[in-house]
Amino acid sequence: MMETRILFFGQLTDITGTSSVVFDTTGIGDTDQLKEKLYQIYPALRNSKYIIAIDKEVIAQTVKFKPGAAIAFLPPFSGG
Amino acid sequence: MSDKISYERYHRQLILKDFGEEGQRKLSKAKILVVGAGGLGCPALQYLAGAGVGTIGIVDDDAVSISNLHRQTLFTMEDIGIGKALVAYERLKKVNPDIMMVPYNERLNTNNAWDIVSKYDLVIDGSDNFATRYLVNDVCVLLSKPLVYGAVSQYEGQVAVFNVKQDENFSANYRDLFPEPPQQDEVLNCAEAGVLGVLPGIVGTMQACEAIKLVAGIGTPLINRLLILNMLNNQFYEIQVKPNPATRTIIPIDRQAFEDMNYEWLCASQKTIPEIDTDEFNRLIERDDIMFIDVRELNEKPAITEFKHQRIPLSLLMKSSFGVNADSVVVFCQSGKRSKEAVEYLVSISDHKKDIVSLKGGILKWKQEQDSKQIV
Repeated sequence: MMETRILFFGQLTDITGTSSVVFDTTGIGDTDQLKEKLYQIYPALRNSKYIIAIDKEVIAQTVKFKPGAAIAFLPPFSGG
Repeated sequence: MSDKISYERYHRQLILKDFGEEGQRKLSKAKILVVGAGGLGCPALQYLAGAGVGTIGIVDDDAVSISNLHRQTLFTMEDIGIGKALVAYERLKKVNPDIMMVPYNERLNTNNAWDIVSKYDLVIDGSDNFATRYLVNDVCVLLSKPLVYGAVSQYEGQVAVFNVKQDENFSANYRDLFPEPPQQDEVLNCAEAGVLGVLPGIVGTMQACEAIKLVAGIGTPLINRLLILNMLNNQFYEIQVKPNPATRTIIPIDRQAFEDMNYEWLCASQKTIPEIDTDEFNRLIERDDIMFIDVRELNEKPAITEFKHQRIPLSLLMKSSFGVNADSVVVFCQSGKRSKEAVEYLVSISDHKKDIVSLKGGILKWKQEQDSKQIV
């Protein structure tokens, strides 16, 4: 079993109900596959704006991730 | 403003290791622009003015309202209805009359941003909407101005320093984080999502601190790093932001291209797009004073022969300086999504007297209804 920690920030937690979840990512190789899997669990996530950081580094495109990675979903804020 | 440093006023920071007299001199020569005198701008301005930043610009076109007072610490009940930039200016003059301040009682836009930002060494973004944030980011990239970014939502805040080269050729900006603004409804703003009053107090104060560190050359500012703070559980999370080569192609290439940008439209500031149903659409077809535009790509089927219209694909429409020469325009596409985008764009480039609407459900829905009518 491959476990991955997934972190949700800002208003994404309104959708997921949690800011952190450990997820079995066996068979999931990259961030695109992970997103699809998460959309099945949290459908409203699909219509949300966010970026992904893997192990605290922002990624610009799909990335393969290793077991034990921490994957953060970060929405933009505009409030001031 | 005088070159002489007041030892009495700045004593507590003059005796600071690393900061000292040199740091104070650098501050007194610095010119900092604060965009937005709201939740983030108020605390940032208070500390920058107190610390003795030589010149401070304050941009805000908004007036004080009672719902501001839980977080915008420069204002009182007596200020309600008065321009924030002006109130902030008056209040801060009483804190530190030795510095120079310039209130700009206007909204930062593509017409004034270049000239205003050019006059400063560093910009603090304390705005409250994506249109201004992207505008500030792009003008700072083009003018190579360090940008101290801060934003809040509910219980969470973000702080970062952009456009500062740490190594020789390495400086990230806001678009390396979020290349394109979110579309309508993808993100809520403060008025809809709420914000705990102390949160912008903390984030704005951190922005002032980052600005002071950058100017004085002390410590390790948040260059190319985004700090996320959560007030509910006191957790801090920091991520690295790398320059993304694709970002450069989105940012306007020069002043002219910047001034031609329509940031309000890009960020679709929570507008509702007027739509009509198929019944209304059928009524309008009968009239000859209305312009119909099909914004589908030219190869898209079904082709429409039932009424007179123009075919201008959305991609082309948005590039051209297309003039709407009818008072009423109906836009349609396949499903009604692209036509909404087209309407929003056309409204943004036309005068507001024009009546520009989108066909809800698109031409497919209309076609289906026409076909079923014929069968009956």
